[in-house]
Amino acid sequence: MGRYILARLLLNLLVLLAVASLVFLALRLSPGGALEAASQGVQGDPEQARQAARRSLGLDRPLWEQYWDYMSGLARGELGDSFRTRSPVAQEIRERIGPSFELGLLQLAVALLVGVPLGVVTAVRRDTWPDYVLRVTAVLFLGVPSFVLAIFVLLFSARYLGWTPPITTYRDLAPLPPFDTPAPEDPWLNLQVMALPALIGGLGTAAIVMRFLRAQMLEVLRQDYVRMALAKGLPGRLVVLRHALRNALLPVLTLAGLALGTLAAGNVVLESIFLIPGLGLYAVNGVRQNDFPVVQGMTVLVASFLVFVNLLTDLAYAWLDPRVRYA
Amino acid sequence: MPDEAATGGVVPVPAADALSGPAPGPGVPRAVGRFLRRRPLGALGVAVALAMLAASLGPPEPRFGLPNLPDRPLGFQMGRPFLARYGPEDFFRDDSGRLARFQPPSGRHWLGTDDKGRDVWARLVWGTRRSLFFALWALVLATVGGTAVGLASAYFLGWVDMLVQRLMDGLQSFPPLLVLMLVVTLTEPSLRVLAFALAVVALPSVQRVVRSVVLAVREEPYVLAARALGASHLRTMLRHVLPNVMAPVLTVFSVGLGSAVLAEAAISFVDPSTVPQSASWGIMLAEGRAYMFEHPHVVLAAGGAIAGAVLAFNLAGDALRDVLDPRLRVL
Repeated sequence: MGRYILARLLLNLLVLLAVASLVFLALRLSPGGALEAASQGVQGDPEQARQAARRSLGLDRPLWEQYWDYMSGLARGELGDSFRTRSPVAQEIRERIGPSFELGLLQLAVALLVGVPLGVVTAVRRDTWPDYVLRVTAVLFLGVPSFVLAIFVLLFSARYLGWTPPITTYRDLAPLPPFDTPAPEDPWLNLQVMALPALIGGLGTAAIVMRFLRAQMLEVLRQDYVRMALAKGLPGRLVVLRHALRNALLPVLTLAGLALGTLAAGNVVLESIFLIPGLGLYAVNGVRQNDFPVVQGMTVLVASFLVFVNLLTDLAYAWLDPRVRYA
Repeated sequence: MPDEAATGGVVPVPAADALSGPAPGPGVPRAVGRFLRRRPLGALGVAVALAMLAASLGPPEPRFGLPNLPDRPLGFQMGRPFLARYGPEDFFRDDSGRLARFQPPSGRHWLGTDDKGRDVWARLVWGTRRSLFFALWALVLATVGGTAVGLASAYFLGWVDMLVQRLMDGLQSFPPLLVLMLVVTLTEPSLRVLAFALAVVALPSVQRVVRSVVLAVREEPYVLAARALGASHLRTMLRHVLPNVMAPVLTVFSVGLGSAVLAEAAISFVDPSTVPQSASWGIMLAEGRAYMFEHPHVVLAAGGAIAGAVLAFNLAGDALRDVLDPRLRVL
């Protein structure tokens, strides 16, 4: 087991190295946009402005020197300074990671709290009306993209309930609660901002969890040990929860792992609709403004989060299911 | 189905192929009928997908060139869609000569007009062409590439498999939306490039499905028999292994179409200024958002189109999976 973990860790490092190098090279292949952005508004000869921008951004140095700076920075946990704001990217990410994580974790909580019970119910009450209704609803939730749903919900709540979350419209950026502190200062306001996006994003995942769990439960409920448990007179609820659900939940773990793995990427779409200043918006703005250090930092962050959560998921799998063994 | 897999000048069917499934025969109409009865939702999905295809077609024009999106998806120029009466950027004036902004639905404008006085229905139909052919191109590339990679990787196993799979892990650890936006920002904004990028992003999940099937199939006695009869690796892969993955690949393809439509809409929605500007559901949704509380018909139309298309492809894919390959009935 120890050897396996070590091998996976080394492989993860290799993957991350490749990812970091690839994004570095891809950005350096076309620095035009970044120079354009940096030299905008500068008076005088545009060519001179571009040269000045190239120098001030450090893009005029030899490629290997930039690469070395970048890589040694990564090793120290530094991600460089943003081209636009000139402040350290690592610091900016730290400020924005809170809202993204809050939203992501809330979504996951909604997904599990809704998906797991419904999955059990639809499996146990197979081919009854609740089963049909819930399954069709789940398909609907799978089909409607979260950003479309978000807009429809906003529209409905504004028109018929007279309530919108504490933002006005997309055009004027409403003042948002200060998220730059780790703990939200006003829990009530925070909940108002987060409730809708968490529900909207979470219910889509809940539909997946439900369908997955239902299929798995049907499989497990057919097993001999379930019949055995029922035969020896255990109450049905106990059999379903203790014997069947425990085994059926394993694949759901993979789903939860996948959801956790994408946590660091933030949810671009929901963040931009609900104006949550998280990592998703940060990354998109970085791309939009050709802010190389931001793009590099976000890519490396997302990738490292993903590969290590994947590893943890696999290990948790082995821990929960003694049949799974990694040599 | 095995016949479709055959490529190039092919010789009589070897006996081993009889194992890979019944040949399509005169039972096809009956199978369609059964599909309609047993899978009404799936049939609805297929119907919506066909309707989208119909909406996106227009009269062919004798101008040829490399396929390009949105108006030359198949190598020849397509004119105004049959179902759209106006161009995507045509704007209209009302009787007093002012720009006809936010007209309610009428006989002239079936879904009304938007903030620039353009016909919403016409833009929706033009957007269908963009969405559908973008998704088709991205998925065809991803499926062909993913099948080739997964097939080779699982067939040869050993260090080939190790290397290829780690490469795929690396590819998958890029945040997808970020990659797509980055590609668009770094190159000329073009739907062709975007479709290609999406294909690369989607390739790992296609190859994973193919690989898992091939891993099981390669141990079958008939594969060994084919090798023993002197069939080359390439022939064994194409004639004896590949037919087995056709069912899951078809399913992945149809569900993937939904995701591709979604991806195009999401990018156009999040950052309308970076993607190529033509009538697009995502751009319509993004633009309509600015005035959605006063004039919701634009977001309702665009959002409904996106949701309907994704839903339809999902339903069709689900039904296809159940019919073609009950083993995969997990999600």
